[in-house]
Amino acid sequence: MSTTNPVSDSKPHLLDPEQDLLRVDNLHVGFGEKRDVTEVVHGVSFSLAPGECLAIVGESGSGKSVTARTLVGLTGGKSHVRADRLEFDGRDLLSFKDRDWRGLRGKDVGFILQDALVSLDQLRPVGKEIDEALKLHDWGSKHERQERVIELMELVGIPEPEVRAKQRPYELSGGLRQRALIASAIAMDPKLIIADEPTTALDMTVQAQVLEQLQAAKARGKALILISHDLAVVSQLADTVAVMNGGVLLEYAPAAQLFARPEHEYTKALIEAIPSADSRGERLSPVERRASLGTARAYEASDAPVLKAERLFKSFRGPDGVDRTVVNDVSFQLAQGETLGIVGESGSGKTTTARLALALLEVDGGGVTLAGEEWSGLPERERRKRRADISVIYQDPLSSFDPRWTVEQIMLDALNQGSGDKKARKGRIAELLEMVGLEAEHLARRPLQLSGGQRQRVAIARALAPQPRVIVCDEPVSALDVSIQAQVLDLLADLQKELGVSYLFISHDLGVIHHISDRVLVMCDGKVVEFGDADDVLLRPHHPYTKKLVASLPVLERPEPTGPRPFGRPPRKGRPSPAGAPDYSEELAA
Amino acid sequence: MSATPHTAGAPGGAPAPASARQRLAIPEWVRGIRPGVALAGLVVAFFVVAMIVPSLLTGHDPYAVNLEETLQSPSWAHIMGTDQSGRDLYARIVYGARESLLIGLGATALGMGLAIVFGTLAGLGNKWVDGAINRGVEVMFAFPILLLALLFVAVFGPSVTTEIVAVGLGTAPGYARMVRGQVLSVRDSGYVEAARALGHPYGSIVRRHIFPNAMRPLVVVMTLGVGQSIVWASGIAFLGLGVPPPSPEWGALLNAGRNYITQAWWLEVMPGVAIVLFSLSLTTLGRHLQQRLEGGVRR
Repeated sequence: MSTTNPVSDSKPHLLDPEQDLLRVDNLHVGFGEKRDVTEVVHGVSFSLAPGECLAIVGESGSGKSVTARTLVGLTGGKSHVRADRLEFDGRDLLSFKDRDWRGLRGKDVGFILQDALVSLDQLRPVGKEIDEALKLHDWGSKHERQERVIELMELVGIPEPEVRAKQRPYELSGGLRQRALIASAIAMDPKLIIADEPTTALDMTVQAQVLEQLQAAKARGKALILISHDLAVVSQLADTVAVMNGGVLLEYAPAAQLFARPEHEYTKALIEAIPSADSRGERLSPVERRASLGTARAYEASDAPVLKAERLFKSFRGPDGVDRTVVNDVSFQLAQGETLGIVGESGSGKTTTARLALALLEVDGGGVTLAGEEWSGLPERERRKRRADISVIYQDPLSSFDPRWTVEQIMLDALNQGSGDKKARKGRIAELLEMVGLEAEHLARRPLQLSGGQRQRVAIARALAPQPRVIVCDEPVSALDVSIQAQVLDLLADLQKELGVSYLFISHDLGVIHHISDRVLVMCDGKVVEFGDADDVLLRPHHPYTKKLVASLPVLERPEPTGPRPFGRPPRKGRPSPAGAPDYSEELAA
Repeated sequence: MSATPHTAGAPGGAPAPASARQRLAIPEWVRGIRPGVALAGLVVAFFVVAMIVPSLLTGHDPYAVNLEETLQSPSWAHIMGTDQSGRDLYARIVYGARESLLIGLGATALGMGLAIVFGTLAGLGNKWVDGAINRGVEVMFAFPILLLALLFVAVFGPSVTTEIVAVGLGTAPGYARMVRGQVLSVRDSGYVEAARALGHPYGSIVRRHIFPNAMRPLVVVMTLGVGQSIVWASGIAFLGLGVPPPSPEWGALLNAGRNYITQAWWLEVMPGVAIVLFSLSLTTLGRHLQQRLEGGVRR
């Protein structure tokens, strides 16, 4: 292998353009001891040519990450890999020993992991980290390597590389960290880059930057395997898409064909499950709506604000003793039966705003009224009596339940504030579980014994128990798989329709926000930058920040489907489709 | 620790014929116990019996001086040999279990009791309360436990009570830190905020969520602590600051055997083995308990 500068050597040095770089035939991966092996990947086949991007899409437990890790020999000690063929660049990976893998990783195959903060050594400057990738494979002299590190950092779009190279991961933003990780993955100019959920932990605008870098690598002739649960992200980059579920490859097709005419039911459901501007007011999941809501009290929709925040301020003292204003002059109104979406990137003050609305934090300035009456200004003793009117659903339901308690205890506790004898309360619990689509058998379980979707349903049932007028939903679907997210969003929409409850819905995901919100509040650095009707704000943004945010949203690029849409959803008219949305690519490049 | 019965006897759940198991109808929770843990349970049970009715386990009188049988090595008549006054060593160890275990349990109870009070206050109190308690704990940390014991013996004279108080006070600061950390982490947990959002009063949240969840890991720490306290107490006794002779307390036995170590090795080895075996068994049980308790509710 040459030790000349790999980047300027931009001609893809390939054996033969016709030949595949990677061939995987009938791959099986299992884990466990001798006799007790559980197979998690059952016969997956695909191939990849240079300059191509293959996306492996699936939900958690689909086997997508294991498949990717097999290609770099990182499946671990107790794994069993067998395949009819597993070839990379003309070499048989099945015969690889530890030493061969070490020679391959970093040099011929670059691996980018999901969380840069975990993957980078906290105590080592990022420049050193990138240098390490070169040093491991004896690339150049110390001086040459230093120049190369700077060059690589420039290549992945890190500003002021000389300064940044000396900084440690915690001194860099999430986007810069992820880019440093990409720089170290491409340092040896590998022929294949594998990116495992490279943008999942990132903010929307940062995600756009990272995708742009991967696109650039692809343009330089690199083969790319992108592992993701997010079809919209995938549609930006992939030439071929492999949809996996339960360790099986369900569909494997060119991207354009797969998005336009998905063959497999699962792929269709996955595409339908993506919330967006286009899916507003429609169901995302194939699950039918439940009819019976029992004796639940319903609120009449009205224009009088049920929750009103006026000029909220909140600041926290940082570790350096300087006060930081986290919520800066935030005002909003929420009417009965409507959903107000708060969207913003991490650190924008969304969650603090939610906690101020819940009066779990005291305001520094301004005030909140609940159902037209003073709320934030009351002493906690007075507020307790009215807490039934406003409840909350968290992102991580597991940590919001006492680990010792069963679902029944959790529900009884939520009803404890209300009146009624034990029998009436049990009846009410059964009713609440029914509402959120859980069975009586779940009552005896602890949250740990439930799936992620079931846990969030329990959290919703608990939030509904006191018959609140408002539910504050703080990233309630962010930790869920796409299809589970679709079910939970549908459930929330159903409950609103029937109960007239209002949602203050917080999310970093523009698609989710647009899907569920009537009105939208965009936050940036603690300030409200835009507030208005969801379509006005998200389809015709005025503020530059909102524009940037909207532009960075990866939209599933698919041609208008012909024929009837799944789940009987009629094609919508009068609303610009995502495919027809303005092209922001120039703006992005600028 | 690698040679504990715990690891030595764990076969990793060899798949026995299911039909035979079903015929025996062994309940699920018994089947889950590994042989090492069962052995540890037997050892602990033995010493607990020794503590309550020592006469059940030996026919010898631990205090009966027999000058014709001094310093005899282990034999069928005296399975652990005799001491310089011809007293049966096995009987002395069995009878000594009462004082030793009392010291272990008492010191741990005292240390943990103090720790729970101060740790919870520090965890739930405002920054002044927290600060004051933390400074106090740090001062206590600075005192070597043996120095503290010396002080107590000098003032109150050597006795079981003195030893309990000395070891209890010595171990309290460490436990207090642990309790405070637990209380803090539970206090800031999602479910405590969720309970606030439901409108539960603070007192009820402390009672129903914070206290039980913060105390849960301490159950295990306490079983580990009893064994440790016994070792501490033995150390103090070995220095001659423990329970005065002719008490058969294990540490006192060690101290007494010191002078005959060249002639009668069993005087040092046997009480030492008792101490090690008991604390090891308690530790094993504690870890088992830890896995049982936390396995079900691990985050």
